[in-house]
Amino acid sequence: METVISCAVLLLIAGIGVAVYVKGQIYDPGLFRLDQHTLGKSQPAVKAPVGPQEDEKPVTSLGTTAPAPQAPSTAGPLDALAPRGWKTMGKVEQFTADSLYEKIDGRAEQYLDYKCVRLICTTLVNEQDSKQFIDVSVFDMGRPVQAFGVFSVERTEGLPAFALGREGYRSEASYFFWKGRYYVQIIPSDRGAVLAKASLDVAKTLEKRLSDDGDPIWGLTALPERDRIPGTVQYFVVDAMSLDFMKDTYIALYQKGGAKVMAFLSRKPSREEAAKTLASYESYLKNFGKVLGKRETDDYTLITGNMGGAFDAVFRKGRLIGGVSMVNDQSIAEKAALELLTALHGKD
Amino acid sequence: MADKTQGLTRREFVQRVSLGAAALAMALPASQGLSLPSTIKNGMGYRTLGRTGLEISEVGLGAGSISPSGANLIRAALSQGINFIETSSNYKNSQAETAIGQTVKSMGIRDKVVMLTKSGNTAMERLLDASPADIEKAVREELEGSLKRLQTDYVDVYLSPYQANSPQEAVHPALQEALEKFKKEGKIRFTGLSTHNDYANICMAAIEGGYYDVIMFPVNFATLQPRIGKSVSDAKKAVKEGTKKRADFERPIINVKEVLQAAQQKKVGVVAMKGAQEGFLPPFIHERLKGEFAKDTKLSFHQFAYRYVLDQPQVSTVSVRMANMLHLNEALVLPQKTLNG
Repeated sequence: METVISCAVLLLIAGIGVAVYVKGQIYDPGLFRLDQHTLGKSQPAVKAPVGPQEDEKPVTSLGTTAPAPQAPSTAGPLDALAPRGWKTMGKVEQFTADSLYEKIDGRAEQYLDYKCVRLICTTLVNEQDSKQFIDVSVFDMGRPVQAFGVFSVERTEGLPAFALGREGYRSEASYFFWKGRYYVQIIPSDRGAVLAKASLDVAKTLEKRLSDDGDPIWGLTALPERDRIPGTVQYFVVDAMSLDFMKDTYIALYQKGGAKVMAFLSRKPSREEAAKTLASYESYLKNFGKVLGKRETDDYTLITGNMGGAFDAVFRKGRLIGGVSMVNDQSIAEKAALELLTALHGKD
Repeated sequence: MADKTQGLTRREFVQRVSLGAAALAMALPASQGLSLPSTIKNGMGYRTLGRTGLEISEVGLGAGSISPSGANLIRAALSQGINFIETSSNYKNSQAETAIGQTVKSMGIRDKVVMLTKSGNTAMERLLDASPADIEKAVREELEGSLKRLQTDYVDVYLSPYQANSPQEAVHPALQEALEKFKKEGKIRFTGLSTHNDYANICMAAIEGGYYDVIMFPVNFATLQPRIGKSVSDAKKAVKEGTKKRADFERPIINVKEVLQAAQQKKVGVVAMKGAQEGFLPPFIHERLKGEFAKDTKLSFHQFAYRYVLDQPQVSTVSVRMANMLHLNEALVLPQKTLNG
């Protein structure tokens, strides 16, 4: 009986395979005909990377504090940027949110998460040695918090700080900083002394040209400074700690009990929103680990979880959600979370 | 109690029937429900990565969006049966490798994880005429950096060139000599290459060259079905008409059926990438694809697109780029799904 059933199943599979193959050979021209109407709705118009478009504001709307250029220019803060002995190679390019992927394919999505308005960029080349060049990119992120956010998530841990803009750092001969609504990258072709000096000159020139209204970033002031490792604060618009429900969240590293501890903090629009986020966090702990305890007081709720040997402690206080994540020791995790909670008094 | 069926035990009979079904599925064009994991454990399917013999989860963790603060995603993926991680020295400014290294080390499961990384900061096309010593130096520097960040003595699969742009890169003697040295030093186990451009020619050159064990390239509805690929290409062309589009950011859509078959014949492992990427499958075509390939699917478009890739028996794993737990949850159920739901 099993033989008959098995043979029948085999024949059925063979039949399906043949049918699919035959169907696949028959071309239906109507099935994938280009629908211009649908396309027009779903596909953003791709804009030329060079030069302003008719319906765009000129790049000078970037808010540069530099004097207006003599001749009409689309370069804005990148106008006449080359230090002595260097020249601009080609034209200054500009990309909008719709065309950003053309320049930074594979990374554009992250900038769009942070609401990138525009990228203007250029390449400077050494007049004496065309193999030496410097790529300069200025991202207009719309708001300071977004500029800080993309700067912070692009930053590699452990790189030395460098006094540029509101915050900057150096990686070999490359410089990165944010100021006001702008995030700036200056990346030379090599790490030699000539390039390093030229890169720094360019960075300092740009720093002077870009404006900043000085608005403070909430998370930078709300996260306690005590025990905080300098240069480790990050701001995530989405997916903080790879959690889809953790939006608008600040993260920082602290030195606690001889261990590095990652703390996080988010301010929700309402207590209800915060409660909802805490419930999502609890579900996540249950799905991928184990909830070890839940403490509820009049002031706060604290949940501790074991994620396969790493511990999370998360709290809600008013409309704040905070805590620590992936700590190797449970008691350190709980203590650090409570310290953070205490330090947040009056910051809701 | 053995149930004899024409001289065979029940187990032997079932094994032979399974083998027969497997052979049949391999012989037929890929279609619904014919993917062939070697084993299934806790709902996750595992397939053999070509001649490397490595048994890897058919859903791979694409680490392009992961940094150390999001390392809990790696921990969750590894604890749920994913054992294959695809990364690169340049993903998230090297932070992806750092996150992977920290997590795998803290979990103490290095020997259970298959790590694939790439020489992501070395543009091989610029080194085509470089001296063998310069090529070795450039790739060695990359590899050493990866090993340090991954906190391991070896990577299981090392892809170099990364994003190969020409068939010459796939058969470059100096590069392959350098990779052989690294193998002898115990720093890499198997080699491969990845490519985004001219990938059919480049992969065929790699397969015929016989050196590489693994190839990674775009496998999706558009690269598997010529008429879909043409439809998307035409649409992209229409959008770009009249604009000064930069040629190097074009994503060509090239049929890869022959590549898959050749890879299977030569036992070259296939890591599928861009299974659901918009550059190949723009939103306007989503409903049409569902309409043709699955009438009543409850799958999200990404699940549907990745499932189709997994239905290609020559594919060892599909690298799913994950940024959050939602993506992981969607990916984890792929092995149990069919195109219809």
